[in-house]
Amino acid sequence: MEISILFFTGIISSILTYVVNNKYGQGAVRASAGLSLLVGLFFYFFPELFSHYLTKNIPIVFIGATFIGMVSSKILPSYLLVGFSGFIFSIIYLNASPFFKGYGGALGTTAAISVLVSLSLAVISKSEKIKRIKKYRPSRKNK
Amino acid sequence: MTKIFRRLSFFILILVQFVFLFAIFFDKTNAPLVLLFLGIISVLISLAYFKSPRQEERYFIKDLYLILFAVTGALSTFFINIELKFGPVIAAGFIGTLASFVPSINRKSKLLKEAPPAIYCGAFVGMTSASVAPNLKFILLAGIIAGSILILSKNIFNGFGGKLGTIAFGGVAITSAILYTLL
Repeated sequence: MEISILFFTGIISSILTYVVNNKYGQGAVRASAGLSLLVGLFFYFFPELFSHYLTKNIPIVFIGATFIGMVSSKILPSYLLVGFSGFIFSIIYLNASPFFKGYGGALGTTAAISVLVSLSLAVISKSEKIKRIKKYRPSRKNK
Repeated sequence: MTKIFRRLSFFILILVQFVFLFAIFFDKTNAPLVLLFLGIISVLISLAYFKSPRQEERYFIKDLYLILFAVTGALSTFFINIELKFGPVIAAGFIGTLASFVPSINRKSKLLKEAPPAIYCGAFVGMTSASVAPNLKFILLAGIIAGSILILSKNIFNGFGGKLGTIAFGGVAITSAILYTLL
């Protein structure tokens, strides 16, 4: 149950940041930092609202997943892929090695890996579409 | 020269990400599902590297200001995080929000426009916990290294979520490796 809430946090946080960043044009840094500040303060002032595990982990998963939302809409154009990145992020976060515990930037590295996974999926799906179009409508090529 | 720097920074960022994945790999050797997941991820991100956009922009002496911004961000975040005991998330969020308003001081200045990413990158360095970073000197060195990687990598991975975090991680990891070998 608690783990599924963390997955949910990752997906929501990445999409929310993406919307504030690209749709409302606030810029990547303000979108990511502002949202995580709000969430961080919320859990700082209401530490008893959720269980200890969630109070400790939700802000960290949230700020990590906002790094995904910092991606520009030119690179990842779909909400689905951004949400998928948030999902991948949560998986990696839950399995992350304790060797790098407490290292600044570990969350960012995790975010970068999940963005790259989504990007490659976008590239693969695109290339298949191109193949299909070439197969079925060869006449378009001549125009 | 531009090309050499670009390749070097590309190499550093890829190395950082694979070191991170390898750490999970060696930690979870008895969990086949995680290993399968890691394998798929590694193939996919290697694919994505070839498709990532790159630019050709020359390096300027002016870029050295970015190191200053990164160090400022790192030190102030570390101070709020450890000395004021607000925790890493609030510290980085606060510094990042402040940094995002820096360009509105003077909208014409190109230098101020590049400040928010650099400061936010430094803020990630400052999120390091006290068990890894024993004092401010560690953060200072890590901030300088992260700022240098940030300048080197200005032509690659622009607009990628997580680029700044990877750079910060590189800075912290290199610093702790240096301290580990020296001490």
